[in-house]
Amino acid sequence: MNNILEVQNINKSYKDFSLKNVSFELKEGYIMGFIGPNGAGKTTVIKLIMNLIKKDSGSIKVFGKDHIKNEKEIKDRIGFVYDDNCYYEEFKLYEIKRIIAPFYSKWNDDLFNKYIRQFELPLDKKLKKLSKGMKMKFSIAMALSHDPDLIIMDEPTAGLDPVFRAELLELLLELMQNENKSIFFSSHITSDLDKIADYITFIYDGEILFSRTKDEISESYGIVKGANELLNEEIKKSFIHCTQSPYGFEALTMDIPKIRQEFGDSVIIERPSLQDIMVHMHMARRQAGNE
Amino acid sequence: MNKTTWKIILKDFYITRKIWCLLIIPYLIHFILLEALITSSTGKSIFYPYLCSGLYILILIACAQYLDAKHDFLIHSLSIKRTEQIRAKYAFVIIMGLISFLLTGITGAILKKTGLSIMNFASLTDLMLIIAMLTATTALTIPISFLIKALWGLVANISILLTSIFVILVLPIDITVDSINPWLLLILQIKKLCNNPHNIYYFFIISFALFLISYLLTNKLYTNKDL
Repeated sequence: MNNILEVQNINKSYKDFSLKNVSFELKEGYIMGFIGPNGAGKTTVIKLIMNLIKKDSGSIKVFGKDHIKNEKEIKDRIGFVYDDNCYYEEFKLYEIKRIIAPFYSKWNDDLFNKYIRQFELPLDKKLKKLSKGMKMKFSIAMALSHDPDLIIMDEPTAGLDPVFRAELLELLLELMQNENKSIFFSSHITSDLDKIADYITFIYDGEILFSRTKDEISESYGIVKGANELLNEEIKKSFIHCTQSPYGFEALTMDIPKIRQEFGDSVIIERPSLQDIMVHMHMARRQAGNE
Repeated sequence: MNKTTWKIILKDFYITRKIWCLLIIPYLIHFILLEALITSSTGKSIFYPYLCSGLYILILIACAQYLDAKHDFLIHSLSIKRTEQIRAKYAFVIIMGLISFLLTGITGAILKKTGLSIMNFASLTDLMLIIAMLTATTALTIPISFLIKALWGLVANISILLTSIFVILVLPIDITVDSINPWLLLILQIKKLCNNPHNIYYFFIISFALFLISYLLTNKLYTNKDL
């Protein structure tokens, strides 16, 4: 299967933040969740893919082609949804469509009208009069109406209510099933990605901590829960991170067989959610930083 | 210029259509009324239309740039190259300058034909030069607007104000109460300069040079800028 997106050893330095050797790839027909806490570098990576900012080193290929040399051709096949509204607020929806549509070779008015009906968007209303959820729906309608092969979404569900988030996820799944698109979806709301993502790439402080299939992740990691008496310094070291309360400990491990061998049935090992992994890794990094 | 560049220009026209429709009506009314009124009462032609046409270009360009800069994330997620965007903006400046020139010229000619104005051919030449210079000055605001996302209207006005102050300092003239307005002083100075054919030639050269410098500067800096 072809890689639709290949990011190789990307470096980008700012005064107070840098991306360090960021690498991952997304295969055609899959959804990749791009997770990480706020300020980890998710938007910077997306901006690099879209050539909105210049990389210091590394290479980015979209549809197997260099993203700068073939910028126009590539962007024609990308549907882009930004977390903040980037459309002209003062214009009515049909006017914005009229402005944007000529820039896509495969713009499909029927498809646009279909999404407008599906999302119940008022075409004759100014964008600024719409709620955040409606604005996001409009962004999605615009991003999908030129039949893109790759959809890049930067935190599309941030600040939206659960009903709309569920609706959006359903729509994305529908797209995947019917039209075999690829989706690169950045979010810090990991529960959304738990539902739809095939691959998860976790970025933390400008570094990729892992980029694997969701199944691999849930098989590799485990949440261990048990009584505090079972813990000693040696055991603690074998965990990625461990929190303790008067009622017991909870830890993230990548070595489930060792834990089973060590503790047997005296601990509970659960499959972690993406949020569990993200939180524990964040705490572990912060702890390491403090030490 | 390729197809995309024209699409961007059309987009800019479309985006600013309300602004220039709203500007062109008062502009023409001012032109006709004031020129006719002052000509009939004093027997002299005024520079008011020049000022209007200059402002007209500035505001239009400022609006188009401002809208784009606020939405550069959107613009650059479309299949547009930065060089195309820059080229379109400069072409837009030239086109607006030409439209402004033609509209003013046609209106002036109609006024003269109907006897409402005594504006002569020399005034039309002045007008052309002023528009050329204002177009170049406007072009100078493009790199600023592209690079620092400034409030374009303000940048355009400051730039023209600085130019006028420069003109006043370099070429002092007798300041009367009527001409305390730096805009008016600028127009007076340009008119004065235009009396000499050599100055006309220099005006064109300087305007062209400013335009070219601005274009090259924007291309050099903006194409590598992080958005």
